[in-house]
Amino acid sequence: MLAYTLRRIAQAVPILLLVSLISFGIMQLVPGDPAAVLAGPNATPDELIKLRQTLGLDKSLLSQIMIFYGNLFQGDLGYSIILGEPVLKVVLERSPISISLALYSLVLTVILGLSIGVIAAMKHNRWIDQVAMTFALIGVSVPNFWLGLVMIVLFSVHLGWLPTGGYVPFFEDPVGWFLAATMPALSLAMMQIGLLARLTRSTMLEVLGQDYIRTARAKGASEPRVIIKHAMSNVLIPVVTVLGMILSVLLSGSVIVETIFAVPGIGALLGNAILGRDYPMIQGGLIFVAAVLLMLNIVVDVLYAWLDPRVRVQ
Amino acid sequence: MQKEPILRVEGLRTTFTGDEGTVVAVDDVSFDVNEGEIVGLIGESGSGKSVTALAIMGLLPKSTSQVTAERIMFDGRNLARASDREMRRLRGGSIGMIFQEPMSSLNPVLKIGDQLIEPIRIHERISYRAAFDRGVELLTKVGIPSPVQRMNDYPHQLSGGMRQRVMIAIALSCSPKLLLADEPTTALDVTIQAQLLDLLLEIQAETKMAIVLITHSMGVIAECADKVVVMYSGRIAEQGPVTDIFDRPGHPYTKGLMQCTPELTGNPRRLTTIPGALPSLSALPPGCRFAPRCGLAQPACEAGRPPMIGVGQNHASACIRADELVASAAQPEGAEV
Amino acid sequence: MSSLEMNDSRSEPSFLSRFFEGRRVRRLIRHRSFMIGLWLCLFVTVIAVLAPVISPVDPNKMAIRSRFQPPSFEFLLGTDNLGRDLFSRVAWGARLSLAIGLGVVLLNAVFGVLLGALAGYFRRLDGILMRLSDALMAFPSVLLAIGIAAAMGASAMTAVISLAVVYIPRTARILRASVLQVNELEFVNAARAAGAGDFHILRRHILPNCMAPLVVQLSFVFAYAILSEAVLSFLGLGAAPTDPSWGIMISEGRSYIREAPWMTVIPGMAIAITVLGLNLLGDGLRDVLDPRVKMEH
Repeated sequence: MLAYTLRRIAQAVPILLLVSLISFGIMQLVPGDPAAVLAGPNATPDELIKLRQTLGLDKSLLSQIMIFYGNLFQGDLGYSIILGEPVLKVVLERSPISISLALYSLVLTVILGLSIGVIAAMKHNRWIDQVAMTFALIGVSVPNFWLGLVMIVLFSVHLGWLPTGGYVPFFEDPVGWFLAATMPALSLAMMQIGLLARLTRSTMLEVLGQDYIRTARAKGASEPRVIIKHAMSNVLIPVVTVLGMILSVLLSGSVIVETIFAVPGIGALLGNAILGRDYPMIQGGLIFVAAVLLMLNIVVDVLYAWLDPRVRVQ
Repeated sequence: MQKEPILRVEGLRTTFTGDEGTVVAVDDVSFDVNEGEIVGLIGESGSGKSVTALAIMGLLPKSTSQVTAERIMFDGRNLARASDREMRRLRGGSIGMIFQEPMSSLNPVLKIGDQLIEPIRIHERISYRAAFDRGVELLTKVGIPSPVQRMNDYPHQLSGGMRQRVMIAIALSCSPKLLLADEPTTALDVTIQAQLLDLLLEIQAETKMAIVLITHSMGVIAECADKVVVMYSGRIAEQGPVTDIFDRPGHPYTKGLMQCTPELTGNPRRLTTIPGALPSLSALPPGCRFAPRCGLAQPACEAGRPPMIGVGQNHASACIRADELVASAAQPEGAEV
Repeated sequence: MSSLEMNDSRSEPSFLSRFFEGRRVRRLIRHRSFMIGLWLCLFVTVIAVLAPVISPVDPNKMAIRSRFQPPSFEFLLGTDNLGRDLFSRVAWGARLSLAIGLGVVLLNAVFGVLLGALAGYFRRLDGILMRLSDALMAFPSVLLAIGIAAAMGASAMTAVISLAVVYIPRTARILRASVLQVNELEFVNAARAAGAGDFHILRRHILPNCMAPLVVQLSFVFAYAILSEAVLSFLGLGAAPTDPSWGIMISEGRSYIREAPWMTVIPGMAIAITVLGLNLLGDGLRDVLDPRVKMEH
């Protein structure tokens, strides 16, 4: 198990280097002079030269890459132009907010997605199944930011139940955090709930048709026992493998959802960096998010190996 | 005065409903299993023998299948009227079952020990420790070496033969009065098949439980069974004591089966000596279902369902020419001696 | 030579005739969700094609006198803050969305097949290509598209390219897996034994047998592309702000969400209907063409 974990970490290193290179390369896509775009039309030539130096654009591409990697190994993700602060520092400051939101979404996704999928599978082809699958299908078809806006109209403007957004630190006011985070978390989670419910249902149907389920029934096991002990343990294995993907989409969605609900997390940070063409911030933010995701994927892989004895016991 | 049979099936009928409509997989099947008796249920794949066993166990999916029967008497209870709860109490308790596919019949993510102990813990008020000890004992009994270690193994760490031994141990764990063995050796190597049959016979001799042994091999029947029920296309073609069936088969299908199964190791998926194949359940012939493949068929065979004709003690055949067949079988043998 | 040709015709008559063989078509027609999806997609396509004909007015024509009109007989879907007719804008928006989605799908088909086939067939390239796709897939999908679009500058072409970059690695992986699978089959070995060259084998024997998972994947890529394009244009990274794009319409409606919720709700529903149609279509295709494939994204 430990060897497997270490091997997965070792495999992630070259990918992380490539990820960084891609992030670096994105800056090269900027048409013309990024410094000129950043500085705006009113910049003096002196200011431009200074900005070019700050961005390292005055050097050759190769030495830019060398400097970029050199800084990266020292934990330096660059310097945000708009905020005037190191990218890593800003990102680390903002990440607890995004993490708490992502965790809340993940919990919603897993609980709702799994239970909808399991119920649909158990009531296969009955009306509950049809309703659940229609809901899941709509879930995967609706844009999350639009859902967020519609929820704001409904629950904040008309019903006045929930705040339109903002963020309340969990440890200062858990109830306030809960109220403020529910709509953003739900609009982030909706698509994942649909995906997970569909996957869970189809996996559960497949598992329920397996011989070992018949064996369990032949032992006189009750239906709840068959579902929970015998079927769920097998359903969870493929479900765990999509957790990494779910986290990835949750992080993706946070840019737009955090912007809509005025949640000051990494997503909103990146959203603002895009609007302000803060290239170092975009670059560093991308690397950071990809690195976090790679790490989470390793956790998911290890969890998968631990869940499936066929992988665990060699 | 003969004792009541442990299992009496009367008029069992099973239908499946699918996209293509409803088909009758088992049609009016009746047979008895006495205490301590091994009854062989033989037929080709698709003849309804496995469905019969699953219907008795109440293991067919309710959404797609309907099981009806005049009576299924087991140990004084009518299973045809039993509630889900009663059925659960019997399954794995008084009735054990072994399936055809040892590779897929064990849950891949649970330890052997957990799966073996489960029925004991479901049916008896017993501590985990005591159940575990019983599990080890059972594994020893079915011939699994180093049973304590095996309890902590996962199914994928065991060979097919070993897994089937575990399945037998699971089925035996609550000392059932009846064991339904659905082609327990079909999926295994020939040498292991023989070993497992011997094991089953050994255990049966010791425990005196009744066994319904489902197979498509006349060799297995000859080796193990006291009584034979021959199924064809969802109906019983012939049934009777094993010696009578072998000496004086009263149905052309039984005769055909014996001609193509000369030995225990024979494992014919297709019966080469009988031309044609099982009729599709959705397009059954009107009269005798074997008539289209039967060398002895007459126009009368297609007129209606042939009745069961008694041709000896406890020996009956669903062939209108059963008497002729039995008589002709007896003569040449007698002449030879 | 003649034996080789015979071999060809038996293993693979032609992509189209195999693909639309009667049994499959009949199963698709009987597949309820496929047919619903097909009708929804046809509906959106017809609206997109006929946008110039069915639009009552120019989608960009401002009418100060009729600002913020709710849906009515005069303005079927209402008007926006500048008095532009939302029905016309939604219809023209369908053109833009479908065009961008189609562009992403085409790029996916070409490069996904090319890279997937190279990685699956020429094992020497496999390592490099797969590490590259690992790296690209390590980014959250929309985030990478946003990053690329932000660097390249907003335009419809930018949206197509950035979304293609995001989804091509995923498509290539699916194709690679099928190529690996088909490559093991008997008729490929037979063709190889008969002396057929690599490219001939790839083109005539392997790729035609990899089409089912590809078509299923592309239908889902189409759906995701339309969703993601809306995100990009909502953030101002997609089509030009003057173009009638569904994402832009939602972002404009956001400022007036209290007074004129239809400005937000209607374009969102247009997106949802299109994506729903594509998802249903994809579900049906997967069920009929490629029952083994689970969900891939």
